Amino acid sequence: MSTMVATEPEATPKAEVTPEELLALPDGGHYELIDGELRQRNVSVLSNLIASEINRILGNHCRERNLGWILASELGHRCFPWKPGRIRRADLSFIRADRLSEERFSEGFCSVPPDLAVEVVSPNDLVEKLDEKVEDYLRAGVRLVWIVRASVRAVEVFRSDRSVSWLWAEDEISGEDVVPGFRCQVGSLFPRFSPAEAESPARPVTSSETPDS
Amino acid sequence: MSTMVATEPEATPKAELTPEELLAMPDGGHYELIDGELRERKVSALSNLIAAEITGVLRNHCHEHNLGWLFAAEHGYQCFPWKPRRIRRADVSFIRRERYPWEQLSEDGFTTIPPDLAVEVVSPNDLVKELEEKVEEYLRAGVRLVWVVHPDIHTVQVYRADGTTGRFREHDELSGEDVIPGFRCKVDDLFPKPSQAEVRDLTKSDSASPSSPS
Repeated sequence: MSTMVATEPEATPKAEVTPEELLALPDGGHYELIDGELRQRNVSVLSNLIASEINRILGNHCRERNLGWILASELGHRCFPWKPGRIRRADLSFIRADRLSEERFSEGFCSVPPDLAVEVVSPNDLVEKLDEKVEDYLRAGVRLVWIVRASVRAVEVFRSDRSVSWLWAEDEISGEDVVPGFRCQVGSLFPRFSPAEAESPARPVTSSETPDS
Repeated sequence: MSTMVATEPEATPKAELTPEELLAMPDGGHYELIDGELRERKVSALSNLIAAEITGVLRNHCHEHNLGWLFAAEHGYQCFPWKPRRIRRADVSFIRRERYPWEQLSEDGFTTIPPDLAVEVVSPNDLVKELEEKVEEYLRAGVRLVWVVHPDIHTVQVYRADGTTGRFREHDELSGEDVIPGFRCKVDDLFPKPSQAEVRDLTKSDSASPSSPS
């Protein structure tokens, strides 16, 4: 068993790609740009399903109340001034209506840091790459970051005040002061495959219950 | 749920290993057993150093106050009754003395009671999915405190049995809470402080093209 994770395409030394070149790539939306280097976004059927479900319910909420814009993963975020050659793509992001003026709509990348960034973990995502991404968003001024952890049916919430919460399937997640009024059960973000699977426990037992031996 | 995830490395059909067989392997300590399948523990020089540092400071405290036992990464836990063929190894773990009597210590190959504290130090090739499953299983097994050490961002994330979590950065103080009473240290103190040249050696040891420092 190899200790190297073979699935991440390692760049062979080559010319650095600029944000403008990324924008011109026909399949550019599949890549992030990390300091001049293309990094393919890991995806899975499940992570995609979850992202579109969040898009739907968050989008409905925001549209009804005219709160702002939901942006999909193809949009590149160029809001890391300390790393000019860095373009990130969140699986989903939200920007309040008053922060994204209409004249910016024609720009290729979004230079306004989103208010909320959502990442759905895919099976090949590496811990350190995810750490780096969350750090970048918080440093850029993103107020709320949701990391959706499908394998354990949980969402981890990072806030700009550097506090963190881990929410399990039966917990309620809220838009806090970023997406006012939004709340839903964490478990409802995950597709249900069958009644049996839907009932399988994914939460650690509390002290009152012990695992069957 | 696993049926939907196409990219999960699927085991080529082979004989399942039992915990007893793992115990008998000369290099068994390098592996976890995930439902009969060997999974190599990913390590790096840096993660190893940090684990040793944490073991050291915790051991000093626990020894001084006679609190309990500290185990290194080679030690296996068979404390997942819903998955009998699952053996996990934490980089560092602690069990309170009164929960683990001396007689039992000398008899057990694997420990069947969940540790009070489990510490995992992230290595460069660790997958998010495997890490979150590990944390979830520890909590489900009844581990009271899980520390996940992220060397890349000098952060320790703490997961508690009550479902709360906390993220502690370099200048924050990490505490043993009610699990290792009285223990506290600055997060930064857990990270070894080699010279700049040594840092480069450790973190870029497998990189073919060291980039110039910015």
